[in-house]
Amino acid sequence: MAHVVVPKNRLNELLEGWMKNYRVVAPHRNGKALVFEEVKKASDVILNDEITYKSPKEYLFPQVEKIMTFGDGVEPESTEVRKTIVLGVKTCDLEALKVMTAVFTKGKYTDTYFEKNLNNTVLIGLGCRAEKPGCFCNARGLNKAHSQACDMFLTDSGDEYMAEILTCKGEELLEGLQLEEAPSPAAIPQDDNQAGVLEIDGEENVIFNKTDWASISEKCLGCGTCTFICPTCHCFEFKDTVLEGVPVRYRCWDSCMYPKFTIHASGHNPRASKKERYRQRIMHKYLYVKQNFGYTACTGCGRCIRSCPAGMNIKSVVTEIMENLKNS
Amino acid sequence: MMEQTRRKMECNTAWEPKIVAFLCNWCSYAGADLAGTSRIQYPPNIRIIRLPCSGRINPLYIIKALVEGADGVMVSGCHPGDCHYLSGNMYARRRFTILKKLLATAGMEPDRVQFTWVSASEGSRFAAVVDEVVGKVRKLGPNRIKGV
Amino acid sequence: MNFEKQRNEIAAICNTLLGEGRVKVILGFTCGEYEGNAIPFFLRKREDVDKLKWDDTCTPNLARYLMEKKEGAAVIAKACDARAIVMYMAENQINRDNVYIIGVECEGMKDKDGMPAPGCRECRVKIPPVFDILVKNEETGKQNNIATDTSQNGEADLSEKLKRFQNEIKKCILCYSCRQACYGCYCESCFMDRNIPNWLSSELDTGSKMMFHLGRAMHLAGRCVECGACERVCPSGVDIRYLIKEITGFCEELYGYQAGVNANDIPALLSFKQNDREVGFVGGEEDGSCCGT
Repeated sequence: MAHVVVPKNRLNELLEGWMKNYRVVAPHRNGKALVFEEVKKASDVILNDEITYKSPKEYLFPQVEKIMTFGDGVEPESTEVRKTIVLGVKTCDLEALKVMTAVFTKGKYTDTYFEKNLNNTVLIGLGCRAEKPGCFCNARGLNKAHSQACDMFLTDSGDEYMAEILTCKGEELLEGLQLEEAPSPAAIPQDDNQAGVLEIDGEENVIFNKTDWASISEKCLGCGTCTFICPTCHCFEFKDTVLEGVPVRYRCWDSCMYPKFTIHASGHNPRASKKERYRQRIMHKYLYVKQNFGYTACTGCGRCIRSCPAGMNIKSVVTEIMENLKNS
Repeated sequence: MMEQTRRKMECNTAWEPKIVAFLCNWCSYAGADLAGTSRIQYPPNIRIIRLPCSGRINPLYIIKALVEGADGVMVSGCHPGDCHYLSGNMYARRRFTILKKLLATAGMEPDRVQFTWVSASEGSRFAAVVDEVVGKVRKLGPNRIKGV
Repeated sequence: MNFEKQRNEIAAICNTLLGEGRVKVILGFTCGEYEGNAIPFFLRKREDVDKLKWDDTCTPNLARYLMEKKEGAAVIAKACDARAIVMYMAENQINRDNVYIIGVECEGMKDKDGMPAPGCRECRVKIPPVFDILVKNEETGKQNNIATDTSQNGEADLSEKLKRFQNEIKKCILCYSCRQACYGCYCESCFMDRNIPNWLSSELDTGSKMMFHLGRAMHLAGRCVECGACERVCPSGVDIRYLIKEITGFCEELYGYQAGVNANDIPALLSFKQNDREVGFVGGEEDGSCCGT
C-alpha cells in the first residue's frame, strides 16, 4: 500500500494525460450546481469539501442502459464500455458503491452489466475536511477523511495531495509520472461519535407494525427526488421498445416512492399509500439490505435531507424509531 | 441503365412532407369526402384521422405527432356556432390557440401546425386549405425538433 | 418584512384555533435539519406552537397537502398558496367551509443563496385573495423583487427559442418531482403513467422529455398560480417555467382570466365566448409574436 505525493500544481498535467485514454469524470460546475460529469478541460475540475448534487452511481449503474436487442435472435448488448476514471468521490459515495457492488455482484446471480462497468472504472476517493449541513456520515460510523473502498485515495494536505494507492488499477494510473513516494502518514482518526452508530437493530415485526408510519410519512410528496440522488438507491425496471427500427430491451431507474411502483397488471397495488411506501424505503435501507447483504444501505451523505422539498429527514426518523424501541 | 435507376432512386427519395390531419367527423371529414367525390385534386401529403368532434382532440395528439416526426399537423372542425355537438369546437378553439402559442414559445415553427374550420359543403375550400398548408410546410423543410 | 411580528401573530392565531378545537391540524412551517431550511409542519398540539417558523425561507407550497386533508384543516397561506386554494375551490376539489385560511402578506421568499426564490421575483399578487384572517405586513413599500422579468424569450427568433428549449430539456432526468410538487397536478392517474396510449417512454430521449413538458404545460394552461414550486424542487435546475409563464400571460391577454384570484371565475379553458379571438388560425389573426425563421 504505497503512498505518493501528488503536488497540486501537477494535477492538471495528470488529468490531461488520463483524458487521452480514459473518460475522466469529476466534480465541476454546471450552472449553479456542482455535478459529477465528464470533464472536457482539466482546469474545470473542482476538488474541495463541497458535495455534488447527484451521486456518481450513474457511472456504474446508468440511468438508462441497453440490455439486449432482438433481431433474428436475442443478442445481448455488447456496446464497448468506456474506461472511466471517477475522481473526487467522497467517503459517503465510496461506501455507498460498496453496498451497490454487494447487491449487484455478491448475491446468487451476478449482474454482468454492473460488473463490466465496475471493472472498467477506476475510483479515486477524496477526503473531506468539514461536514456540510445535513451530513451524518459520522453518525453512520464512517470516517469522512478516509476510506479504502476505492482504487486510490487522495488526502488534501495543503500544496499537495497524499495519494494512497490501494489497487493495481490505481497504480497503473500513476505509472511513469515519477512521483515522490512518501512514508505512510498518520491515520486521520474518525470523529468522536458519542451516540453510537445510527442503524436499526431490533425485531422486524415490531418496527414494521408498532411505528407510527402514518404520521412520519405525512409530509412526503412522493416526488422521488431522494431516490434519484441517493448513492445507494438501485431500484430499476425493464422496458421493451423500438429504437430506429430495432427492438431493444433497456433497464432504467425506477423509484419506490412513486405511487405506481408496485402496481400489478390486475390493477391491485400492495403499496397504495404514502405510509406503506415510506415504511418500505426506511426498512429496506436500514434492515432488509443488512439482512441480505450485510450492509446498511445509507451512508449519511445527507443529500436526501438537503433536497427534500417536504423536509423528510431519514436521520431523525431512524433515531426516533430506535428511541421508541428502547423505551417500549 | 444505371443512370436511369440512379435518377429514379433520387426521385423516390426526395423529401415529401408528411402531414397528419385531424378532422371532425361531421363537417371537415364530410368536406374532405366531398372534395373526393367531386374529383378535386389536392396534394396527397395528408394522412387523415377522423374524430367525432374537434373538441375531442387532445392537445397531446398534436404534440405527439410532431415529436414522432410528422412534418406538419392540420386540425379542422366545424365553423364556430355550427358544431354538431353544439359547443365542442368552441372549447377546442381556446385550446388550440394556447397550444399554438406554446409551440411557438418552444421554438417550433408556427406554420407547421394549422387550425381551420371547414364545413361539410366546402369541398373545394378543403382542397385549397390542404394546398396552402402543404405549401407552407414544404417551405419549412423536414421536422428537426429532436435533432440538436 | 417584519417576520418576528408576523410570526407571533400567526402563533397566537394557531393557539386560539387549536384551543377552541375549530381545526384538527394546521399546515405551517418549522425549522429543518439545519439553519435556513424551512420545512412543512403539521401542527396538531398547542404545545407545539413554539415550533412554528415564519421568515423568508418558508418557500414550500402548502396547498398541495389539502388534497389529502379535506376536512378540519387550517393553512398558513402566502398569496400563492391562497391562489392555489382558490383554484381548488373553482375546480370543486375542496369545500370552502372545510378550510380555515390564515392569510399572510408576503413580499417574497429567498432561496439558499439569498436570491429571490423562483416565482417570487415576478410575483404580482402579494396579498392572499381569500382568507379567514389576514396577518398584515407592517413594513410596506419594501420590495425585494427584481422588477423586470428576466426571461429573454420575447425578442428571440425561433431557432434561438428552440435551442433554449432543447438546452433546458437536456438537463431534465424525468424524475417527475415538478409534477408532484405542483398544486395543480392532482390527477389520480397522470398521463405520464399510462401505458395505453404510451405517451412517453423512460428512455430519457428528447422526444419523451418534450412530450412531458409540453403536455404538462398544456394541462396547466390557465391554471398555473406562479408559485415556483416546480422550479424549486427540480434536482437538475431545469427552468421549464418560462413555457407556462408565456401561456399564462397569453390566457390573461386573450381571455382576461387570472388563475386563483376569484373562486367564482370559470377557468379559461373550461369556458368559451362567441367572439374568442382566433390567433394563428388559417384565415384568422396573424400571430405577431411568433417570428418566422
